[in-house]
Amino acid sequence: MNKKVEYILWIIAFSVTLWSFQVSQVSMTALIEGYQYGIDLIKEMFPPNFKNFDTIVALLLETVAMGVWGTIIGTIISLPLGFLGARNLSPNTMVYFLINELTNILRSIPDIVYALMFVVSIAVGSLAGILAIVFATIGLLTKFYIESFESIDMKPIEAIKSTGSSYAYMLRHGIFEQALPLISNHTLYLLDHNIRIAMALGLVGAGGIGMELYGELRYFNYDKVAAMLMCILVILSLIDRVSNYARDIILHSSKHNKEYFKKSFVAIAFIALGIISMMYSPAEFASLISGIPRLYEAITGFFPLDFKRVNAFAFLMLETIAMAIAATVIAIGFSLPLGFILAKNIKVSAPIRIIVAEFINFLRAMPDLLFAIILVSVIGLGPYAGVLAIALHVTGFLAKFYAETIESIDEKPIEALNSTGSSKLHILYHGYFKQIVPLFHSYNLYMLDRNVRASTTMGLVGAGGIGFELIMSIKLFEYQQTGTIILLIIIVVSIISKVSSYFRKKLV
Amino acid sequence: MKIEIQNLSKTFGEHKVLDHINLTIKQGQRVAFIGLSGSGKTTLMRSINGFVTPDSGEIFVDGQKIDYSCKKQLKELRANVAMVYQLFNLIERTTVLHNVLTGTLGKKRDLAESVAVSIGFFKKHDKKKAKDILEFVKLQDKHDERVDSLSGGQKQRVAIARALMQEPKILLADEPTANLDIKTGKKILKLFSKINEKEHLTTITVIHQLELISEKYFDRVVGLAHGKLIFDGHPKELTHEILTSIYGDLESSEDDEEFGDE
Repeated sequence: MNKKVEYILWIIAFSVTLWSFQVSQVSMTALIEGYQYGIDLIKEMFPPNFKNFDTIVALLLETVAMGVWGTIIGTIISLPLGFLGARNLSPNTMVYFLINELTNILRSIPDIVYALMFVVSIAVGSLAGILAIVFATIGLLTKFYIESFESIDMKPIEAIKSTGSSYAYMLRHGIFEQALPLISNHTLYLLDHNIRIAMALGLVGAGGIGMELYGELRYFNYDKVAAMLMCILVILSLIDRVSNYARDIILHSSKHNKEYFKKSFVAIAFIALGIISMMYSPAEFASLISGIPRLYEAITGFFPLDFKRVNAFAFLMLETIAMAIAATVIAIGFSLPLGFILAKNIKVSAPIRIIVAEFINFLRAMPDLLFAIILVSVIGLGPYAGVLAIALHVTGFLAKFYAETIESIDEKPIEALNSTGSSKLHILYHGYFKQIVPLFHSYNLYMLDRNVRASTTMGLVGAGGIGFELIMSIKLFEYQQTGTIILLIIIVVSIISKVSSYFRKKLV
Repeated sequence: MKIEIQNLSKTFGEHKVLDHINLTIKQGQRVAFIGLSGSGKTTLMRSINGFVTPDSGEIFVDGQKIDYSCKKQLKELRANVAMVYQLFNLIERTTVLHNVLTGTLGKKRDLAESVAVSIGFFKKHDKKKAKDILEFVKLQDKHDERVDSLSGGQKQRVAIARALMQEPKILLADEPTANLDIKTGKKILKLFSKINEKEHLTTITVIHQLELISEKYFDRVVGLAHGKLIFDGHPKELTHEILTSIYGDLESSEDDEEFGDE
C-alpha cells in the first residue's frame, strides 16, 4: 500500500474511533464513579448462595440440552444446504446463489433477536430457545460447510468416478471422506458456541438458566446470581476444553493412531452430553409443529413495515455501530499485551501465563449479554456498559487469536535481527510486529463484524443501541416497527460484513 | 479387451484436439501415447473411459460400442477400465488401505453390502484382497498410514493398487511418471509390465519422458500431433525424423522458440 494512503487511512480510523468513543459515552470518570458500585456489588455477591444448587444444576443441564438439540437440528438442515451451496458441488448456479444469499441473511440476524421472535410467536420457554439456536446455526454452519466442501480436492473424486462407482459411493468415499474432519471441527465449534448462547437466551424468556438469572437480578439477589454465574462458568469452560480437545484430535491426528485414551475420554464426554440432552430435552417437541403456523403469522405480522420512526431508528443504528467500533478498539487495547503474554514463544514466567490464560478463558466463556447485565448495574444504563461488555467478551477471543498468530511467527528473521545486535524493543517491533500486523488487522475486522451484530442486542438489557427499541416494539405489540428494525439490522450487518470481508481478503 | 477407435474427432472451442483418429489396440498390448501438450493424447485416452464425449466417430470396447449418453453403460465400462493419474488423485487424509478399497466401488453389490460400504465398512474378503495387492506393489507395511505421509513413488504405487483392486481389463495411465524422478518412473513402468504379464491386461500409457520409451516397457508407440495420428509402430522404429515430426525440432526449440502456439 502507498504510504500516503496508509496515513490517510490511519487518520480516518483515528477520527472514527474518537467519534465512536464520544457517541457511546466512553469515559474514565464513569469507570471511577462506578468503582464504588462495583465493590458493593462484589460484596453483595459474596458469599455466593448455593441453597438452590439442585435447581441451578437442573436448569444448567436443561440449557446445555437446548444448545445440543439446536445444534443437532441445525446440523441436519445445514449439511444438505452446505453441499448444494458449495461452488464445486452445486447442481446449478441458481441454487448456489440462493443458498448463499439466504444464509447471509440468516447470519445477519443476532441469535437473541431470533429468540425474541420465537418467544412472541410460539411461547415463552426452551422451545423458542432451541428454534432460535437452530436458525442462527443454519446461518453460520451452512457457511462453514460450504467452505469445507469447497476446500476438498476434486482429483480423487475423478479417480473414484473412473472406477464406475455409483453417486452414493462417490459421495461417501470421495467427498465426505475428505470433508468430514473439517465438518466435524466446525460442528463441534458451533456446539460449544450454541451452549454458550443458550445460557443468555433466557434473558428474553427463551428458556434455560438465563431466565432464572434475570429474575434473581431483578430482585437484587446478587448472592444467588453469583452462585449461578459460577456454575455457568464452570460448565462452559469445561465444555470449551472438551471441545478444543476433540477438535484437536479430529484435525491433527491420523485415523488409525493409537491415542485410545484421548479418544475414549472425548467419547465419554459426548455420551454424557447425549444422555443429558435426552433427559432434559423439552417435552413439548410436538408443539414445535403447531408453532410453525404461528411463526408464519409472526413473520407476516411484521408487514407492512412501519417506517414512521425510521429516522430515530437510523440514528440508534449509528449509535450501535459506534458501540461496535469502540468495543473493538478497546478489545484490541486489552488483547495486545494479553496476547503477547499468552504466546508460548515469548518468554514470560509460567505462573503469569497460566493466570492470563485462565482469565482469557473466563472472558470467552461469559456471554457478552451477561457481562452487560452486570455492567449496567455498575456503571449505569447506556451504551458504555454495552461497549465494555462486548470488549471484555471479545478480548477472550482476540487475545487467543493474537497469541496463536505470534506463535506461528517465522523465527528466521528474528535471528537475523538478533545478529545485528539490535535492542529488544527493536526486535519486538521490526521482527515480530511487522510479521503479524496484517493478520491482526484481519482478526480485528472480523471482530468488528461480529461486534456490530452483538451491539444490536445490548439494548435488550439497557446497555445502549437499537436493541432497546427492538424489545420495546415487541412488548408494545408494534410488530410492524419490529420488522423495520430487523430489516435495518439485516442491512447494516450485511454491509459491514461485506466491507470487512473485502478488506480481510486484501490483507491476508 | 480389444479397443477399436473409428474416425474419432473432438473439438474444444476452436481447437481441434482429435482429427479422425483410427486405431485398433489388441488385447494385452502395452501401448504408449506420445506427443506435445495439447496434441490430443489425453483426450483420446479419456474418451476410452467416457470422461470425454467425442463429437463424432465411435469406440468399440470388446466389440461393444460405447454409448456416451447411457450412464449405466458408462459405469459398467469404467468398472472394467482402471485409471492411474499423474498427480495420483488419492484422498490424502485417509489411509492407504481405504484408498485402495475405493477401487472396488464400481463392483456390483447386494443391498446390505452396499449400505455397509456407503457408511464405510468393506467386506473382509475385499480387505484381504487389498492387502494382497499392496504386497504385490511392495507396500505391505503401509496399510494404516496416511497417504500424505508417503513419497511420490509410494503414492503412485497406492494409486496402482487401487486400479488393480478394480480387476480391470484395461489400464489407462495418464502421465503416471511425470511427477516422479526417472529411476522411480522406470520402476513404475516395470510394475505395469509385470501386471501386464500377470493379468494379461491391455495398458495404455500417456508419457512425456522420451528416455522411458523402450521395448522393455512398451510393445507399441502411438504418436500424435495436432490431433492427428502420425506414427504407429514398435518403439525400435522411433527414429530421430519421426520424433522431429511429432515434437518439432527438439534441439532448436529449447533456444529459439518462446511459448507460442503449441
